[in-house]
Amino acid sequence: MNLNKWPKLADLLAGSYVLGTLRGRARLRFAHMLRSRPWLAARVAEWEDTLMPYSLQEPPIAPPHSVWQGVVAELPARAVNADIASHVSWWQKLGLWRAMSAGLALALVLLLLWPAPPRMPYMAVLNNTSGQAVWMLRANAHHMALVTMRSMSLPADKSLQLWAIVPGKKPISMGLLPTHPGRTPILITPDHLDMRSVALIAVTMEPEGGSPTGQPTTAILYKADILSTHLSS
Amino acid sequence: MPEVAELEKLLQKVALADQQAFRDFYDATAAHLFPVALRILREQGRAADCLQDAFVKIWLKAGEYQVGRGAPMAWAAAIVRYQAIDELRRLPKDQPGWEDENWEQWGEREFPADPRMASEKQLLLDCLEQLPSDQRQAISQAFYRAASYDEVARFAGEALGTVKSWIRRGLLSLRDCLHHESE
Repeated sequence: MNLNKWPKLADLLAGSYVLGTLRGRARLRFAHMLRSRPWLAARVAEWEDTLMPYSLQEPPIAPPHSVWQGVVAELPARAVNADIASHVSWWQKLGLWRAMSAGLALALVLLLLWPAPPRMPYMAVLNNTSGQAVWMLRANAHHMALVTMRSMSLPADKSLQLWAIVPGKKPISMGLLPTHPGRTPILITPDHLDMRSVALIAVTMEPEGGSPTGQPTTAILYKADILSTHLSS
Repeated sequence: MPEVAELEKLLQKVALADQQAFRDFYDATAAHLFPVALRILREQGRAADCLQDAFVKIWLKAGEYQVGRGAPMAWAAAIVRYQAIDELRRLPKDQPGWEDENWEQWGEREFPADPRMASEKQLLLDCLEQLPSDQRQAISQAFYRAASYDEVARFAGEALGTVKSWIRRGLLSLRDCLHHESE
């Protein structure tokens, strides 16, 4: 269904999603739709900004320490620059060195060395019209990370949207592109997208917040082939 | 409540995989976010697991936060809330204890110190006031505990269909009111 034509229904679903009465498979389907429809995500954000302050009015309660430790244990596999040096300096800053027991030291060594960041054998570089590289995408089957190398100026009411082009299929939105230099963390690709089947990526200029239809609405501005760093024998 | 500008700055750094910024963000927000999970899941251990998963998502999604949106706490609290709602699905139904707190009081507590949130909240409060009381109560209850239609219906002693339509009509009226009032 093209929810874009039913703004009232879209808003009702967005409200039910934030409220929590949208459950089960309908909730999963809606969460899935959100990823490829930035305009719908914007409706959800509006409901969040309205409703969530209510849930933040309880007196603060510190969570158990195990929460932070659990979070940290999940991070290295996902950090973009998971080089050991940066982890060490981070731990040093926390001053944990001195208090570290042998068991914790072993855990830390395991944490630093394993698991390694996911390999990203696919890459693509998107150039601007003067041939300067603006974005570099790296990906494996299910993860991607983007480096933005230079600023792009853009009208305030427009966004740049990235699309994956799979032969014989409709373009799949990969989200909105940042316009300032920086790197994203490693992101999970949209559920229905397997990077191995992507032939090219392309960029279109869309209304602010992304295409209202879930498909490109303007001509392609930039595109790039997906290159594999696997050596073919 | 932590400063909006400070939290937005931290989130920008988290999006660039800055772990110290993430630690600072955690220190500033975790104690405010923990009760969000606790109220829905009603048990320390489950709420702690939920908060942990939510913070991993905050790390992964920091790049999606639109700087200037002005509500980093609302954004983070929503991530915790969705995580808790997902956890609820895995719990056995009919857990005792969700009637014991008075959810009708939740709109009357202290305002959060963040003035931007306080104004959002006042707006919502005004709009809730304009709803018929059955719709207002059903929405309040669904929100407070993240209760399903079923649970709200059982609590109100009403038919499921009735409660669904209260909540849906209430949400649509809220939306109209919020748009109208904020213009």
